[in-house]
Amino acid sequence: MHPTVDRLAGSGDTWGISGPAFLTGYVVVAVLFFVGALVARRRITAGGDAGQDLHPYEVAYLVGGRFRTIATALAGLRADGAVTAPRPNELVAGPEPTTMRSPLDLAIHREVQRDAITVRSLSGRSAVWAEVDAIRLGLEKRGLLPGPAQRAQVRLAALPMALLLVAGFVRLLAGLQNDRPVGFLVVALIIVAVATAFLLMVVPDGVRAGDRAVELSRTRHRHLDPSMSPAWTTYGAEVAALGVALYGVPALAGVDPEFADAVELHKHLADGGGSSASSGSASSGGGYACSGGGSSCGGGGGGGGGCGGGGCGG
Amino acid sequence: MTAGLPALGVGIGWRPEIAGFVEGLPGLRFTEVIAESVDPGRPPEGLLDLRDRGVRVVPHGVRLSLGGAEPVDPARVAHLAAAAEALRAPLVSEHVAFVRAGGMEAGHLLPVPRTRAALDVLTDNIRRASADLPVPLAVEPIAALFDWPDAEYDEGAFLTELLERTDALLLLDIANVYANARNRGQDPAALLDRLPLERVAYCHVAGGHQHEGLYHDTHTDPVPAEVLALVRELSARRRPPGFLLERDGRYPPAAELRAELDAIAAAAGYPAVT
Repeated sequence: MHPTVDRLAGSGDTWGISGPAFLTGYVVVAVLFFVGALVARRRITAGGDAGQDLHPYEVAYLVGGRFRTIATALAGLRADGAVTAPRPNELVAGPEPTTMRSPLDLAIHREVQRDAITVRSLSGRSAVWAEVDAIRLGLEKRGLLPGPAQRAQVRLAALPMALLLVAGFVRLLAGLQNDRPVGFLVVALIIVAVATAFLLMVVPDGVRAGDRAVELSRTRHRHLDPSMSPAWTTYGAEVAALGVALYGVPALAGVDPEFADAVELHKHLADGGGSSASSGSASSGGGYACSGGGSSCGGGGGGGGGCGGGGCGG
Repeated sequence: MTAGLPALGVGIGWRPEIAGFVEGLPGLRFTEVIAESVDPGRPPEGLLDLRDRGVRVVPHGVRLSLGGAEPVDPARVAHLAAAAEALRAPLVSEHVAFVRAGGMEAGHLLPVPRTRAALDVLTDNIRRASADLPVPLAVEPIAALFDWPDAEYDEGAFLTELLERTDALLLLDIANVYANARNRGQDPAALLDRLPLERVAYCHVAGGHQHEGLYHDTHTDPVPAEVLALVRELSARRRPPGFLLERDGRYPPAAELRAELDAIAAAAGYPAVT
């Protein structure tokens, strides 16, 4: 470190800007860009009107993605008498559903009617996937889930940071060529790289309107909380499904514990509740970031020698 | 109309299991909650919503043991009073029964012998409780599958005297009237003639079933036509301010509960709440 030399704007300075001056400006701009990106993301992920009426399966999807939706539908069909599980891990069709007649209900009933199947293979049937996808698309259209456009916009909000990162690398290379000290610049670059990676890879699974819609539904239907031991016979199949959508395993155990055990729905509900929704979009988010932000990622990798690898990796 | 009491109409007991059904009744003006299940500091939010909607919520005690030989427990009376305050109840109710004796909890509502001594005990306890309650107290005679020997009063005279001695109102359980009369081979309507109907605050209506020749007031079965007929009979003589359907288990589909509420409203001549 040669502070006395650095402080003077002389002919030795890279691009005629002293190291401290560049660094100060760089950090200020980085903070502005980062805050700006966060504000933009917040606006993009606001979503639509949270007060819309939702079908139990839409609530299930918002709470826990595909598997919770399918498990919730099975609970609704079970409460409606359209599906049974006489043997462990095997679904058997009963008569046509009477109250539960959404496209997903009918698709599941058709699949189970064709032959007795496990929940796992049911979840894999394309007819079932198609109906769950239709539910997701409907939620995206109503502004309760982020659609492809929102996800792209969220990543686009990282663009200024990515450009700033590239500019920092160019300065770093020039500084090294000029044989100037670059220690602080390397630290700043590592921080900017981490922030950029965060903005590109951490894409929210939901929009705030979707979270609020679930909250509203939970408040409006707090009488379905399993601690109230809801009388499912009184509430009926559709409300029973909503209880499972909102409250998961304990609600299902209240609707029909034998059925829940037999088809091991707790596994699907547990999976759905935590990982499936988030891992689904997080993994696709990761893939998206590498292809979409390819130039910045590649740039970072190329300048890896300059940043010592630690900044990019971290 | 009973003095100082609002018209209540037809209601159904609020139970956690069917809270959503009760709260969803568009015309509901009146409900009841088991007082001991309410934490006065934090009543169930659904009940507070009902209260704020103008639905009258009556705390219904089951553990005060008004018929017990010991004086009523002031802490239990205080809890009932706090529940009434929290729910802005127009009145509270309890049973003419005892649930503990000599420190032993019976776990049931036990009938009080219809003797002068029992009447004195009840009078004392009701006066004590009423003095600490912010609202009127209505007392409910219970169904009895047996009678204590050596009764000095018949049921009508016993209740009439009890209400005369205290300021209490009467919570008349129509299903009990039916059950008691039927199990004793008497005419249920005859008891109505012997009760001070102007003191009735509201009535309970519930279902039951026959078992080994006796009618059991179970609260888990549909309301039989005979009980509805008695509702009609009573309303023709002097219509009580309210009728409350008690359902405590084996909850049927909502449509069946609505049909029962409609049938009670029709029999009583009150507007439907469904």
